[in-house]
Amino acid sequence: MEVPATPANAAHLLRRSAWGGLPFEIDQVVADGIEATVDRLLDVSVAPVPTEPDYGPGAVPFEGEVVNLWFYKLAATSPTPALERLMWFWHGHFACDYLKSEAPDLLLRQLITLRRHALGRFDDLLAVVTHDPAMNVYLDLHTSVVGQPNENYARELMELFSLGANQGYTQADVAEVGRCFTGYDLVGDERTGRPIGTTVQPGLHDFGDKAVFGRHGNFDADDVIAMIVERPQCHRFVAQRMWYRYAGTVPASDVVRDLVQAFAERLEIRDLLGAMLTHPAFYADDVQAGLVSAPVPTLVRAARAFELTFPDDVGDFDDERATGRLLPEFGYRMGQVVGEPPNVGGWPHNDTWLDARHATGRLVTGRDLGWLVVEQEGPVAADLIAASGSPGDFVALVFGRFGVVQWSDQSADQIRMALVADRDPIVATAAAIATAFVTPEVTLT
Amino acid sequence: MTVPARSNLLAQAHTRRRFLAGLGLAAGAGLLGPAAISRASSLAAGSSYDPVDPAADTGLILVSIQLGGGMDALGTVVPSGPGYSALRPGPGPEADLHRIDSDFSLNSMPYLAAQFEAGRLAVVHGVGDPKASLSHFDATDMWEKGSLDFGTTSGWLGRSLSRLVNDPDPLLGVSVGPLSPTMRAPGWSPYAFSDPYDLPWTGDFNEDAAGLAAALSADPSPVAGTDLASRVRASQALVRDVGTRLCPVIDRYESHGDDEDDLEAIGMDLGLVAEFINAGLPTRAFHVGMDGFDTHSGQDYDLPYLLRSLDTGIGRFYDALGPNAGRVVVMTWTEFGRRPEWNGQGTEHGTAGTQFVVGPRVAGGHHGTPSPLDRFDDDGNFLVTTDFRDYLGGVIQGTLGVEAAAILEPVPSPLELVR
Repeated sequence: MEVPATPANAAHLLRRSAWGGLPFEIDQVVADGIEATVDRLLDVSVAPVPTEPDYGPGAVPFEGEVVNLWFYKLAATSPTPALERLMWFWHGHFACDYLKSEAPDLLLRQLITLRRHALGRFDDLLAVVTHDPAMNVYLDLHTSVVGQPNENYARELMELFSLGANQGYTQADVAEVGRCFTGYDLVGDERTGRPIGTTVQPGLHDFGDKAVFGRHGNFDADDVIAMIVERPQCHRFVAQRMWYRYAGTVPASDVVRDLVQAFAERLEIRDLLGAMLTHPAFYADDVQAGLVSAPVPTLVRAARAFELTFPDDVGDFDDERATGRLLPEFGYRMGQVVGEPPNVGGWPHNDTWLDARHATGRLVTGRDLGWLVVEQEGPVAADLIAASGSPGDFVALVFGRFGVVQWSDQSADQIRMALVADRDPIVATAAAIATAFVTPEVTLT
Repeated sequence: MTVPARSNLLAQAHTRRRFLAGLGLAAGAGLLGPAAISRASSLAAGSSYDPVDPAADTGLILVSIQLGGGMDALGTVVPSGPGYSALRPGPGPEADLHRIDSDFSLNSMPYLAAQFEAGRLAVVHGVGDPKASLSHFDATDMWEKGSLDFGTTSGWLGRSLSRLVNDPDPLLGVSVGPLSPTMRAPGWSPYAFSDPYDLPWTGDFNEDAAGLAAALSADPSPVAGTDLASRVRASQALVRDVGTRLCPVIDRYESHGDDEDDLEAIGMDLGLVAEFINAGLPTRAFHVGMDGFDTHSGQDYDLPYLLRSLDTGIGRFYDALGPNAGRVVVMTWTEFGRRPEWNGQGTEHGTAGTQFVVGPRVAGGHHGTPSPLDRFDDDGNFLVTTDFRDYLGGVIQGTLGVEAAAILEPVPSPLELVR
């Protein structure tokens, strides 16, 4: 039976599958129904082709900050928010950084690759991630050679990317899979000299017999991926990880069964995500009760809520009218930077974001976001400032922009209190936006 | 064997890696708002802390440094003799070996070598658990909890600190960076922070965010609920309550933060810890993290670089402590050591690791038995000779005075690490 498209369910769907929604977007979901909306969200035929900053010749063309602004601009302005949200999920799943490689351009290209394959087949995704130059450097594939295989990628491929820790493989399998992945080398672009791909050099690859999951053969990377994706542990693991990050809970066994059923045969990620977003359990109380929003999704939600603007060139941080230019800085202060996961396990989850360090980041960012919004040109700020004299209207307006349809009296009282703390409507509005930003309604998603 | 020639793309990545997060992102504070140009003017005004007289307080302070990624024991405390040469090609051209006795040298750690000489460095060998995982995440989990029971939700430091007093102060345990799981304890929310220039309820925050501060300060004492919404409010109340007490730390940091420019992240983090201690805050344990020890490749270059950063950071830290140095014990822990054999570029995940305890009160010398270099476990890894709980138990008992048996199971035989 289809999940009813109540305003609460509609807002929940948009907050989790995209980056929230403005009131008219929630109304649209209520009118269309959940299943039709999920079909629309996962229709990426209108997805824009992301533009890359111009690299030009040179050693390192840009810094990590540019990757972040590129990400925020795309996520906050794209007509396919569910696609960028899924790209973000895969970035955490296939966690990779630009610090070890000192190559933010490679990480940016990896994000484009993840987005291109985000809704496709999982085995294709595993293959492109394996061959990706940023991942190659991050997990040491490009230094692994016949006779001296490196186990780093082999272990994380199975533990974190596809099967789950100790799910049907042994240390001996890790060592043997390491041999299968030997011989990678980076391929450079002729004009810029930057790595754009990888290749396997026959002289560096181990062509000997290997034993993987009890089978013998002269396996290479594609063979290993093919053996992994036919294992039931893989189907369960991918379904569980997706549920864990989107829903926030540990899924019940019948939910996992339903998701695996949608996914296992064709390995289409679109089928898995669609099954999850239309599953009644996704709208159950324990799921809706809360997931602490990580900083990056919180900031994209805020960027969409207040229609922050971006420079044409994502390397331009000097255009003061482009309010979105501060999002990379905000992310840094809130403790999450695109391209800088803490390790290959990706970012922490849910209540880990409630410690004092991250509470601090939310408070100082809320303060600055408030000032940023009221100083922005255009109707969004003007409407908020105009409403600051009528606290009840203001509360509904600001929560509406964040995609919140139900709120507590305590949070509404706090926003009202911020509004009356200063006579100047601009100062009062900045404080009230800051207060709304740190309420449980916006901190949770 | 010789590694065949390969392309030179990304060669710069192997010349010097950056370990600081936040490429190109400035340390931010007061980006906007009226007080942005006048920050620091109101620092320390009206702070309400009560400094501890160092002479009057004999409790030791523990600084726990997590060396993330799995530090190679053999490459760090390098054995003399043929057993080592049979396994490894040598510590590499970047390493600078400091002989500490006839059996061992320290790789690129002159300060720690001098401390060993002075009897203030404990080198603890063969630490781990035979059942430990080769996964970073499972092994780290074991160390953080001080237990192989994955059902445990608290950490060994959190359990220890929350036994020291009833209703412990959030500042009793401080994590530099995100809250370390080692600090978790039921019913207690210890403090964690990253950037001293970016703390609410200090400096210009009250001016820039008066309305926000008013709204949150008027929040009735948060309900101690376990639902997430209550916990969101509680986390903000924690920061609010601690904020003004931290003004002296920031004040001190601002007064000489600039001369730490040449330090890596670990050195700067330890510098902050020194400010906390010197400001007389009641903290008894700090967590500081350092990553990069997962040296599957580039170990010849990266390991000496990491160890040098660590060594310099610890040395500068003790200098900064001045008269408080005698109260402070630094210990390291890493989730596992690495495999005996060399993979051509580095080393793979292993088992037994080497840990350090340093400070004027430390019982210097070797502790535990070095893992044999010619006899390995079933997976070909070094044998564990020191139970990690005996190591943690020795630290807990020696520094915090909490009985190790109350914190760790099965009941450990704590090492005598502190005098």
